[in-house]
Amino acid sequence: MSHPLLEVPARLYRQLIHDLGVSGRGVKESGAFLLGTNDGRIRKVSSYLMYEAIARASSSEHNYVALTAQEMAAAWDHCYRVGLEVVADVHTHPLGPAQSLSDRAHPMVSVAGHVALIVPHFAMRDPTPADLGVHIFHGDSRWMSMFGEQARAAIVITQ
Amino acid sequence: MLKRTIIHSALVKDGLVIKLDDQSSAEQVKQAVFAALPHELRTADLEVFDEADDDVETRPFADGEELRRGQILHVGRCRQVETVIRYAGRVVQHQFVPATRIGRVRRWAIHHLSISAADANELVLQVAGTSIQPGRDQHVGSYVEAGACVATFDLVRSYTINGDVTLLQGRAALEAHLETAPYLVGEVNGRWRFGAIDWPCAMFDVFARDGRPYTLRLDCEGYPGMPTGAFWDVQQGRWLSPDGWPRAGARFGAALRTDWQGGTALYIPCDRQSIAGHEQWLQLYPAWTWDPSVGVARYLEVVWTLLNGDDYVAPAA
Repeated sequence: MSHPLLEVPARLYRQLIHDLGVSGRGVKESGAFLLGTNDGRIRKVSSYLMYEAIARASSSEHNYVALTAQEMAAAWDHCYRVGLEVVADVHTHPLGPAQSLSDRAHPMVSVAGHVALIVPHFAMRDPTPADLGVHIFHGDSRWMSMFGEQARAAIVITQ
Repeated sequence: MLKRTIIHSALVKDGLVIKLDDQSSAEQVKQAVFAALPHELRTADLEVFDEADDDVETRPFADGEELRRGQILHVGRCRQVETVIRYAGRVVQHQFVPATRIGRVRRWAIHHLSISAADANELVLQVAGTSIQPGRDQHVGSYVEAGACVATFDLVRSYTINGDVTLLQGRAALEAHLETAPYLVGEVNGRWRFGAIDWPCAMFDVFARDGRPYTLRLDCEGYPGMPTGAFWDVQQGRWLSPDGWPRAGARFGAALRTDWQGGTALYIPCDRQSIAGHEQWLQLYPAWTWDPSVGVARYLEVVWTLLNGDDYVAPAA
C-alpha cells in the first residue's frame, strides 16, 4: 500500500513534533491523539490532543505512554465537545519506529483502519514522515506496518 | 409461595431485594416495590419495569442473560432511555428500555462501532464524567442523568500502555546503577567519569595510568544484561582507529586487540559480543565476568585495570 492515508497541515505537523519532543524531553515517551475527520478515503488531521493534557498523572509517573480509563474518557469527552474524531494516534519511541509488544496489544482505537504513528528518537531528530512508522490496525489484533518511502507516501503534508 | 425479587433503580444505589408472592398481580407488585422505597422517593410518576419485557430488537446482543418474569425489576421515571455511547469521537445512540442490562448495551455499542468481539475484550462502559463502570447485570435506567431520560457512557479500556517499555526499563536500570557504590567509588577516585546517554548507548571516560582519558561507548540494549562496546573517537564521531588504541603487554594485550569485531567490542568476558563463543572465560576469569547486580561499574573496572597495568603503553599518536 502506498496511497495517502493521513493528511496533516505542515504547520500542525511541525508543532506536533515539537510538542512531542518537549513533552518527552529526550528521555521519555510522549504521545497524542490526532483529531480530525475521516471520509473513508483519507483521514484529515485538524488538531491534536497531547496525552499529557488529559493524563498528567500517568505522564509524570511513567517513561512510557499510559492512560487510565478516566484519562481515556477525558479524551473522548474532548472529542465530543469539539466534534472531531480520533483519526490516528502518535507516540514516540527511544529508538526505532517499529511497534513494541504493548503497542500491538493495545490499539488506542480498536476500530479496523485506525492509524498509529510512531516517531523515533523521542521526536528529537526533526523527523520527516519517512522516518515514522505508520501502523494500520486491521482488527482482531492484526496490524500492517509501513516505513520509509511507504510511510512518506502514506502521510501527506499539506501547506 | 414467596420469592425474592431484585430491584434496580437510579434512586437506590445498591438496589433492593424484596419478597413477593409469585401469584402477585402487577398492581400488588408495584405497591410492594413502592413500599420498599424510602418514603421521600415515592412519587406518583414512578413506574415499575420487568427485565423480561425486553426490547426484541436488541436481543441478539444479550450478554449471558436469563430473563425470568418477576425476578429482576426496575423502578424509575423513564419509559425509554436515550443511551449515548462515545468512543474516540464516534457516537452511537439508541433508545433502550430502562431495564436493559449494561452488558447488552455494551455489546450493542461494540457492534455498531464496528469493533470485533476479540478486540473488545478489554473495553468497558464508564458513565460519562465519572469513574463508575457499571457491571454487566446493572440496568441502563440506573444511570440516567438527573432530570432527563438520557444516559451517556464512554467506551474505555481499563488501562492502556503504549511504548517500548523494555528499552526504557533498561535505561532506568542503567541510571540507577550510576547511583550505586561500585560506580560512584570509581568516579570519586578518578578512575572514570560519566559522559552521556544516547540510549541505548552510554559514554564514559576511563582514565589510563598516564592520566589520559579514553572514551568508551557502550551499547546497553537489554541492560542490565551485558553491554558491548569499545573506544570511541569523540572528535570524529566514530570508533577509535587502531592507531589511537592503548596497548598492553602479554598480560592484557589480547584484551586490547584492535582486529576483534572491527574495533567495536573489547575482547573481555563482560562484553556481550565477545563472550559469545568464549564461555570458558566464565571459569578462567570470574572476576571479569558480568554481574547484573553490579552493572556498568564491572565493565568500567575491567577497562580501568587494562589501562593501568605496568605494561600499559599509550598510543604513539
